[in-house]
Amino acid sequence: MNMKKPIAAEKPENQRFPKEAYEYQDDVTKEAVDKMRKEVSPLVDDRKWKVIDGFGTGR
Amino acid sequence: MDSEPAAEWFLRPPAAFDIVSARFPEVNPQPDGSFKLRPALVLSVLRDDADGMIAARVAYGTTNLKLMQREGLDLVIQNAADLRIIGLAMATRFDLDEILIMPWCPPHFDCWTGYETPVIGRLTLEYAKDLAWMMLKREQQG
Repeated sequence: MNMKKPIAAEKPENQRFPKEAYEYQDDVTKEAVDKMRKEVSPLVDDRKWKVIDGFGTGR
Repeated sequence: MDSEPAAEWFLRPPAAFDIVSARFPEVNPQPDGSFKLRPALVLSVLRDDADGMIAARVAYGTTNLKLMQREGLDLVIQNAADLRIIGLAMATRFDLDEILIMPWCPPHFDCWTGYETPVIGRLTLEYAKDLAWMMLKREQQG
């Protein structure tokens, strides 16, 4: 696990950000994303999604 | 002129390459057990024509950069000037391995304190090009 102190934007600019802007050190793991996937699954699965902006498919 | 209430942000879809605040299950959740908000990169915006529901395909961001392991695989923004332009306070890596479709509404997306929309900022053209290149490379590699 990388425990280095995260790099921040320069100090004066930092002050314009809310606390949420500094609190996302946890890694993006498959387990955590699967937890979210399970939570939203009833809302997004079995729908016919059409891409209206960006790239990729509706899956 | 009446302005639109902040609570109705979900009526306005995000755009591809927007950085938005989305819920993520942190190891240390909020005191009430809810998931914290963290930046996520919108790769595409989706609509179900049956009822007009909007969703976004997102890649989550983390300040755990893992530069040695993830270079060329994920989109990393760490230049201080770029961070300011994009709207982030901390150097951030957007993990392109774990992409998720989420409905564009609360509680899946929500606003940072003092913001009227979950949209925090937007990738610059240069980073959008890097992202497109990475996604193409990933597609070719299967």
